[in-house]
Formats: sequence, structure tokens, C-alpha cells
Amino acid sequence: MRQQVIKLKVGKLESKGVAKIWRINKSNIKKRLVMRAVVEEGGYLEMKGKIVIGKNIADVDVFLEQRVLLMGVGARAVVIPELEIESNEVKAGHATSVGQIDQEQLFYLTSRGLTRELAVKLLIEAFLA
Amino acid sequence: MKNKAYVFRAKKGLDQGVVEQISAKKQEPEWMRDFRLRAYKIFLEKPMPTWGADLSGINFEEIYYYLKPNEKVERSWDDLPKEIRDTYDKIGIPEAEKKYLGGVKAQYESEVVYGSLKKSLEKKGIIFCGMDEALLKYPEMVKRYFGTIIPSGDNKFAALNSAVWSGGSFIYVPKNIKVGLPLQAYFRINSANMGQFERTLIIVDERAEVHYVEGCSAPIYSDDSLHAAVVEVVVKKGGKCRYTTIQNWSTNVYNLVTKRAWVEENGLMEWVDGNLGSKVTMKYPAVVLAGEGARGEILSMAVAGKGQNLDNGGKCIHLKPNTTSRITAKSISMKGGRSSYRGLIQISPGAKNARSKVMCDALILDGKSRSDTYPTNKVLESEAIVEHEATVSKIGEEQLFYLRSRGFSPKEAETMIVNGFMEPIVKELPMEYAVELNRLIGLQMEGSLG
Amino acid sequence: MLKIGNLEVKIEGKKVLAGLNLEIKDGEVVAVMGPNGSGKSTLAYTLAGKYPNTGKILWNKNDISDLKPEERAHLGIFLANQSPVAIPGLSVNRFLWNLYKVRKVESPKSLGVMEFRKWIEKKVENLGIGGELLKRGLNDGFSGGERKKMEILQMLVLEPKLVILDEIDSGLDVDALKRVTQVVVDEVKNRKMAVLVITHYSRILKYLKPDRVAILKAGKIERTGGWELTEEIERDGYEK
Repeated sequence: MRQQVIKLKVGKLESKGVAKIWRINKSNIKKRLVMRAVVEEGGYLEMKGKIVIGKNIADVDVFLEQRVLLMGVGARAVVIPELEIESNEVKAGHATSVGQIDQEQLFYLTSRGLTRELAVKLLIEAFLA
Repeated sequence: MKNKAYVFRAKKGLDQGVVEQISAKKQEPEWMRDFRLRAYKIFLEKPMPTWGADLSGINFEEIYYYLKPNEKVERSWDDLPKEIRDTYDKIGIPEAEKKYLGGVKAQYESEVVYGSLKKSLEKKGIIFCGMDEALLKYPEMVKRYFGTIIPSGDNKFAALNSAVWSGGSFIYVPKNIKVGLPLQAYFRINSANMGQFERTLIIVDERAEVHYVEGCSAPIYSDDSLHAAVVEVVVKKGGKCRYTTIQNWSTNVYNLVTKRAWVEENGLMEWVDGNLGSKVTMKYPAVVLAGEGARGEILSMAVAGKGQNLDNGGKCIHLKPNTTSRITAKSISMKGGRSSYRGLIQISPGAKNARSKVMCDALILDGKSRSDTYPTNKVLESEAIVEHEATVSKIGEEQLFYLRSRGFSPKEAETMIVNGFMEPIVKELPMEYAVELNRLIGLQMEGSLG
Repeated sequence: MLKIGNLEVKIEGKKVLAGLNLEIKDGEVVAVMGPNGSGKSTLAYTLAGKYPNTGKILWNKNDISDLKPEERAHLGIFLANQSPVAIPGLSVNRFLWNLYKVRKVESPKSLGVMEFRKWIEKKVENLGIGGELLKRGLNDGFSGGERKKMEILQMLVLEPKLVILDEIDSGLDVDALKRVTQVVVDEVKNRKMAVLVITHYSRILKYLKPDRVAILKAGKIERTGGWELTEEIERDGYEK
């Protein structure tokens, strides 16, 4: 499945926005759209992803994934995944999650001797890879 | 106190005089009259919403906001649209109910049932009566909460309701009392119950519990083209409230409802919202989690058929830490219908450790129909977790083949899959509704495969 | 009695079954063994009515090639799927009851809902299935083994004349395999049910002894024989 990825980092006290509309106008499309962002302390992110599938389209399988990591005090995000579907021979979906660094993953790395800063840095890199 | 003699005339359209008439006829206290008048002004000022379904078909001038001409004349059974009569037959509703639902009979036998129920409730200090009655009998309690959860300025239709409301239910459950059986709107029935501008207020005191059920899965034929109801719920510390609605208005109705619950510490609010009918429905049951540990759950179901646009969903606002919310929305679009999920999850700053999960699944049964999802996730607190998932698809080919290979016809297979799809919500409904609902969905789907 | 003559099936332009011939009589257990990609599952699905075919599929002398899946089910053909699909929200209990009604056993001997439930509970015990599964959505979150047992449970309800077991052994441990095959063997004995066992490995055939073994390769039955063929496959594999 073809994948399109948008990655974003919102630094301390920064404000950033990203909006993408995918219009599917032909049949026979299989695509995965990924939007990932890390928001640091005090940062603000607006992330909007919209999939529009018109009439008389067939054989389409599209999925939008949006994941945001809030990294510190004051990090905020507004995430809006939208779907407008007018054909039924299609499969469309999205999954959004806004959260923090996985504590188990963090523990795993630090228990191997990595400092917390380094562990966090590696996890963010992995998230945005 | 003004002492003006009013001539009570039924007339179309709305002006200040009509609002004053309504208040006077009901002999309301002055504060309510003023409340209505202020709301009327707000209604005039507020523009129509620029989002959501197409509301251009609403003609405010053509509506009777209070008294209708020939109010007491009973409609004849034969005047009802054929589809409605046929549906009643097919889902096996008894004679008396058919006539009531069709607006033919003015009173329903459950008046008797209600009488004895009322006595047992009163013994525990539970109040369950009409909103009009509550205003006169319990003015302090009403005044304390009325319009506080949903202020008149909330939106144009809340303002309209606040100006011309009539009917609806009032429930108060005292501390620690758990109401054992669901309180049903039809218990206090009379013909005015299926009102256009119902106003409901429910107050659940600390650690009390109640389940309120309103509506009907059988199609209700309504002359009125605009229904703008307002429902306010207050759940106090440790309290629990479940509000179940099944709506199946005839397809001439614009059904625009504002429903919101304010939940305090460790309280729980559950909205179960079933939407089958109406030409347009815009309804987003909301929960404001205003106390630590408060929880909200919204189960939303919509079946949009020919000519229908059902715009539903829910809103959860997390104001305090350790609050959780969950929205499960299931919809089906068929025969050219349009179903849209519209939702808001907001985690306010300071609501640490708030958790929210939204799952929306939609089925589109044919290429003429439409399904939309418009969710907004506002996470303004860094220590919160919000998840949202949505899927839109048609009925799976593999599932269809599987059931057919077991001997079911394509139509039977489709119906079984659709009923399975709706099951998580239908299983939360009181039994009678669930049975009727499944049959109704089956009926709606007849011929949908073309 | 099933007689397949010169069966050809094309999937996405590619010929998967290329002139397959096979016969199964009432009460017979016929094993079709083959390597991956030989067309085993395609054969199973084609008999159930998923893919169009050329050639003949004669069921009691009538060609069923043009019949719909539900029509073939009504004739008594049952496919036990390799990876049964899930239908969330449709409880196993309700599904099985509807299956029982589909069989149209409208006679004084047919069971009422409660008796049927009890009957199912007994069968469920035989198969080693946990009773809680009955309340859940069909195959929703079930393990591979549980799904396969569900297929056999449905077979017991429908009492088919021909059952096609599509690689039912994969994902079943020895205990489960023994239970499942015992149930099938009993049906063969009691009702002269015909069985088409499709498998890659010969393990299942130790418990469900075939009357004949056919080797499927490149969409055709390459050769048939008796038990000795399974030993050969076990020794030498499919490459020859």
C-alpha cells in the first residue's frame, strides 16, 4: 500500500498548523496517509486531515493516521480528521491519537542504561521516522 | 405584576406578543416571562448556523408557536400517510397504540399506569412531572437550574426553545435514591406531549441514579415541521443518569435538539441516542465533566434513508482531572440518505490525566448515499490522552458470501450483518425498543440492494 | 454424490483450476492433498459458489455450476472455511438458531428455542468450546482454533450431505483435532455424509481416514490412490 507521510515538530512555544485534503477522484486507489507530530513545551499545533471521495468511485481503500506526542507542560494540539464519502464501493478510515511518550518504552530504554534525555530523543526520532 | 387580558388566538409566526401570550396562558411567574422575552430577542439576533445540514427549508413564519387552530379535532386514521400505516402493521403494533401514535387518539391508556407509579415515586421524594407543572409547583428548584446548563444564547434554536417552550419532563431524584425502573416519557402522556418545543430538566442529586426514556421507535407522524427541544441534566457528586432517546419523526420534520449534561465529581452521564426519522436532525448530546473523576458516555445511532440528512454525534468537555469520556457512534446511509458524525472532544488546561475515546463506524449501503465524519479533538492539556477511530465501508463481501453459503438469501444476510453492526447500541435499549428497532431497520432496508 | 468434470476456474485472469476431475460418493471420505498454490482453497470456494467456473459440477446428476451460494447450501453442501470471517454483533446463539430455522425442519420433531439451546450446549462440550463463546459475536475475537470449531458446530446444526473441510487442521492442536475429526467421523457413520478433506499435511488423515486420496497439483488432480499416497507425501513431499 502506498504511503504518504507528513512529519512535523513544533518547538518550545511555537505555533504551527498543517492541513491536507486528499480528494480521491479515480477508482482503484490504495493509500495510507500518515501525519505525525511532536509538540514541545508550550507549543501549539493544529493538524487537519480530510479525505473526500466523490460519487461513482470504486475499489478504494484509504486510511488516515494522525499521531501527536505532547512533550511537556503547555503542549497543546487540535486534531481534526474529516471524511466525506459519496461512494459505497470503498473503504475509508482514520485513527487519531494524542498522547505522551509511552512510559513502558521509556523505562525499557533507561533500564538499559540510557539517560532519560537520550531515551526521549531516540523515542521521538523513532516516532517521526 | 401586569394584569393584561389576552385574547388567546392561534396564529402563525412569532412575535413578542405570542411569547407573552404563552407565558400568560400558563400563568407563569414573572421571572419566566422575562426569561422568555430575553430569549426571544436573542433568537432574533442570532444568525442561522453556517455548518451542518441544510436548514433553508424552515419557514419560521408558517409555524404555530403555541395554540393551533382546531386543537381538539381528532384526525382520522385514513388521513395518515400510507407508509406510516403500513409500517405500524408490519411491526405489529397493537390497535390502540397505532391510533395514539397517529395522533388520532388524544389520550393513552397509560394515564392509569402513571397514576399508581406516581404515588410510589412520591413516597421516596422523587419528582416526575411535566415541565409546566414543575414551574408552578417547584419554582425554586426550577429557577435554580433552568437555563444554566444551556443558556438561551447557546444557539439560535436553544433561544427559540427558551422563548416558546411548552411541555417536556421535570425529574428530581433526592440524594442516595436509586430509581429502580426506567422513567418513561409516555407515562405522563397526553396529546401535547409530542411537542415541538419541549423543555426537559433532570436533576440527579448526590449518589442518586435514574434512567429516563423518551421517544418511540415506531414512526410518529407530526404535522409540525420544526421540533426544537432542549434537555438539561445536572448530575451531582457520585450520581448517575442515563437518558435514552429513540426518535422516528416523519420525514417532513426538522429535528434540532440541544442536550447537555453537567456532571460533578465522580458522577456518570450516559446518553443513548437513536435516530431513525425526520428530514433533518441536528443533535449532539453533550457532557461537561465538571468534577474530578466524572465520566461521560455517548452511544449514538443513526439510520439515514431516502431524503434524510442525520447530523449527529456528541460533545465531551473535560474541565477537571481524571475525567473519562467515550463516544460510540454507528450510522447507516442508504437509498440516497446522508449521515454525518459531528463531534467535539475538548480537554481543557488543567484536566490532567483526562482520557477520551471515540469510535465511529459507518455503513454506506449503496452508491447514492453519503457518509461524513467531522470530529474535532482539542487537547489543551499536555497530560491527557485522546483517541479517535472511524471507519466507513459497505457491507463486507466475505461476510455476505459466508452467510449465503450457509443458506441465507442476500437480503437476509444483509439484514443480519446490519443488525450485528448496530448491536452494541441496540443492546443498551430497553427490550421493547430493541425488538421494534431491529424490525424497523429490516423494513428500511427492503429493496436497498436494488 | 458429487461428480466434478473438467473444472476450470480463472481468478483475475489466471487459470487456477485447469481441468479438475473428482468424484465423491455418499458416505465417502476423499482427501485432496497439494502444495501451496495448487488451487486447494479455490476448489473449496468454487464448490461453495464463490467463483464462476467452466466444466461441470454435478450434484446428484444435476449441474450446480450456475447456482447461487444459498441454493447450494439448501442442497446440503457445507464449506468449513479455512479462515472463517467474523460478524461482530451477531451472537453465536442467534446465528445458530437462525441456521436451524433455515434448514426448514418444520416438523413436530423440531426443537423449540430452549431445547435447541440445550442441544447446542452438549455439542459445544463435545467440541471443547467454552460456553461463553455462544453469547459473543460470531468469530469476533475468536482464536483460529475456536473459529474452526465454530464451523464444525454449524455443520452439526445444518446436517449437510457433503462437507468440504478446507485445511481444518491448520491451527488446531492434537486434542482439538481429535475432537473435531471424531465428530465428523460420527456424522459420516450415522448419516452417510460425504467428506472432501482438503489438506497440506497428512496429520489429519490419521484421525479421519480417507477412502481415497487425490493429489492436486497445478490446478489438476495429478493422481489418486489409497493410504499409501499419504505416506509417500510424508516421505518425499510434493516435488516429484
